[in-house]
Amino acid sequence: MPDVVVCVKQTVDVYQLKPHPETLAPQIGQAQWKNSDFDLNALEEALRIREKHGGKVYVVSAGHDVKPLLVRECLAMGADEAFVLSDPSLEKADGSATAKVLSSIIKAKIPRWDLILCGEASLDQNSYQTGPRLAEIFNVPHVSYVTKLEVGGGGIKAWRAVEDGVEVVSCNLPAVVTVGLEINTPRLPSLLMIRAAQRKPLNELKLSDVGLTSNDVMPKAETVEIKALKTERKKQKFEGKPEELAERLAELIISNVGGRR
Amino acid sequence: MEPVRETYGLMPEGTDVLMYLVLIPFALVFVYGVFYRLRTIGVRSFRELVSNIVSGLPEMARYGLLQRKVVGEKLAGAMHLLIYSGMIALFIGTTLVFIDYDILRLLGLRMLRGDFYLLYEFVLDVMGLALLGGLSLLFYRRFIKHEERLRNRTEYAMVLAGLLFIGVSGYVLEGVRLALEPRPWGDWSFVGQSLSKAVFSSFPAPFLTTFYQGMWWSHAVVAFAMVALLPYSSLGHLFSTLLNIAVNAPKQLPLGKMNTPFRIDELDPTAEIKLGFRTIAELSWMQKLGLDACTDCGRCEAACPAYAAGTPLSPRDIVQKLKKAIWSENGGDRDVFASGLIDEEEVWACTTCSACIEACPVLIRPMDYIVEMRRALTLEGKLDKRKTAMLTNLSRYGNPYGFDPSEKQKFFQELAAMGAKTLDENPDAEYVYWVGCASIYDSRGREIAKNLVKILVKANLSFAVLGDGETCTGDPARRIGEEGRFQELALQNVETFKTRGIRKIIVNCPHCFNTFKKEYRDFGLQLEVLHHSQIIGELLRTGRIKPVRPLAEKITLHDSCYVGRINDEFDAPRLAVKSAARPGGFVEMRRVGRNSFCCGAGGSTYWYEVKRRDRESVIRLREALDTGADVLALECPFCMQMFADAARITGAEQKLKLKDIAEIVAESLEPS
Repeated sequence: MPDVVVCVKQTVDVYQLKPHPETLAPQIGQAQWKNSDFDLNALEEALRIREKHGGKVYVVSAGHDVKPLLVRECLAMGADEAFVLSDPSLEKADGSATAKVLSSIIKAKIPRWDLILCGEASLDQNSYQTGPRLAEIFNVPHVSYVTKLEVGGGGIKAWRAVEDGVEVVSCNLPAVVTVGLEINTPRLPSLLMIRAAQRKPLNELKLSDVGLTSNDVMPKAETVEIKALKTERKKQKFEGKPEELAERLAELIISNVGGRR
Repeated sequence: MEPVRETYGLMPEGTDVLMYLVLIPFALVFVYGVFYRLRTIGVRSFRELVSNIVSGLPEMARYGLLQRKVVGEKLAGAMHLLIYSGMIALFIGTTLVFIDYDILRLLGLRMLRGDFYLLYEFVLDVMGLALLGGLSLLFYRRFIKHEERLRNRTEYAMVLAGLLFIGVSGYVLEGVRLALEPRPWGDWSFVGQSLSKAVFSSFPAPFLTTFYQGMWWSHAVVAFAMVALLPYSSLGHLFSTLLNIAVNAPKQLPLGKMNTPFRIDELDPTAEIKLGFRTIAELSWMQKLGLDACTDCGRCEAACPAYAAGTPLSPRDIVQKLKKAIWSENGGDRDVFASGLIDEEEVWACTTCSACIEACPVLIRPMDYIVEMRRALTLEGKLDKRKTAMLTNLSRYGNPYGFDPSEKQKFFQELAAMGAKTLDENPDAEYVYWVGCASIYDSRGREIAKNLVKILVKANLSFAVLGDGETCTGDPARRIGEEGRFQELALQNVETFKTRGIRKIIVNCPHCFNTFKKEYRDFGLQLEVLHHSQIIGELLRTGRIKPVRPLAEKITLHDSCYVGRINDEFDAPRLAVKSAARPGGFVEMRRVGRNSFCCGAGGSTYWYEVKRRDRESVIRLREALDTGADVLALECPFCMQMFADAARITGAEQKLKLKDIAEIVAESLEPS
């Protein structure tokens, strides 16, 4: 019965992000918050493991302002207990800081675990760091970009989507695994379930509860500026018969992009 | 000599006593069966059952005894009516014999004598023919015409054989009796008399006597056996259907109205969460009664668009499979999905068009079971990507498409330029035109809204739009089974309507129409809701708009489910279309009104895929093409989407133009 810890990040809904017309900075204030997509895949996978093998599923989340309602969604999906840590100093947290906080929460609150599941990256920053860094901190093996996962016999077998195909690897537990969107379709907690999840334990923590200070969670990398990419289109218009147009288009594509007929 | 019924006439002395002795075990089996069946269904209190039946007596008379819906189909209706009336008459006939012989005779009285007896003989001979005629039709439908929806099971054939034997042997007995003991009044039993003359008069009397006695006993025993098996066989429907009608009909919600199992704003967060059902055991005895009443007639299946389109769904199968589970061992506790009894795709294929409900002659509601199973699936949230996306979009963006709500502004500005002010600008407006997601975010749907605004402005109607205050009604969430998210949106809208004092609204989407009209009542909102066909009809009737240029094309009309069958509005759309059509320029399709055929978008099915062989929209589009019309008039933006796809697939885009009734009427108002 493996106990699984799932790390869930809350991010802005990047699909709702609009750049400021002049500064091109994303207008984060206008967008809603959500659980990062990949992390929900990780949670779904954890729940499926529990359905098959039993055990417990814990959710841990850290950020500058973790929204309890979104954590409830994770509990409504089926997680047994959640540990969340909010601290303003985490506003600019990078993978290193996040991994440090998450590992501290796990060390302090979840003494026994077999598997840590993370999304392979976060929806907003996409830096692919937190999972592997966690594995380093705990000194356990890690498998990333997993699209299929089997648990059994004290170990795991994982299918990794790598550039030139699929790599199948196995390792012993405990381990850290990061998963991609292809691994499953996360269940959608119904509103009723979200309300019912109020009964489940949601533990809110402070940095001091896990033995950290804001100095411990300074980001290693500094974000200077975030700007939307502005691309002007050429807006060329062609007229003529469809066959001629196809011909012209083919020529243009080959001359601009390359390739062969 | 006065004519009198000669009961046990040719039978040996003591047959009457022997017959009752033989009857006893059969009667016991019958009584046990009735109790067994009621108990299996879950009827625990006899008093509760009786009080429920009493409250449903008017419906029982109307739909049960008078067969209101059974006769809705010609051949099947005639067949059933003949067998039904024949059996009842023969049963009454036998009962009269019992009263006459076993009660009145002992008191020294007789009833079956003289003219009354002659009439009795005549009527029973006629009704016997009705029975045999009906059984012949049954035979024809099952074994010659091979109607696709009729299933052949050994049990059904046995029932047919049994009834046939009772009918024929009755006549044979009569014929033999009249051959052995001719009576001057024998002609009143005209079938028996003819048999007697044509067949039996040539046989020797001793043979006939033995034959008669053998036949008499077999007639009696087969009849007893049929009665005994009644609770165990499909014949049981003669009680189960009446029970279902009496118990359930008075409680049935109007079409288009789903039940509200809880109020999310009043819900105790610590309460046990339960929604819909996954096992038979979770059904109430009344719901099980509905399943038990199914006669496997297949009318719902024949009416079901999802079945016609080759999806895995058959409403009849749903009911039959659930019914079977009631009877199988431990069937009640097994999960209907996990056990493989019901495939999830079956319940997702339903368009909630309600045609199955309309079709059922005994008032079973297959759709209700389907929707309740959906609720159970959705509660757990194990939905595919598209369903999940739609529901997430509703929560996050207030529309099922997932468009950024800021897109609304641009379109409402466009409408404002045409004269549609917002309620902020025109707070005294009599009506609020609720545009609906499909006409705000979809480019084809927008044309409908623009044309409707054109008409309303032309008629100088006092109206306004809500603009930013619009969100989804929640209909797709409710139909997919996500009651919580539906209620979240419903409560938000009710709040908007109440604070802004909105009383009358116009919608051009039948799904918004139904939701406002029927579903929002449970959330304390009574609105006067007009579908745009209704307000256009009203404006035409009162002369506030006058068509000046009839359309040159021939037009046919598709009745949408949620305005037509479900909300009974068939006239207003016709009035609107006919007002714009040239004389003789309107044709009806084969299936119209209550029998209309869903486009395939209802019940949230627009938002996800179901594996299928064909498409509802393509089937219906072919029907429209068959009329020879140039224009297919529509009253729903989702029908519009579905038929546009169907026309593209079938290459019918040039042959048949798709126009909303608002577009048709607006066109006819413009002088050329």
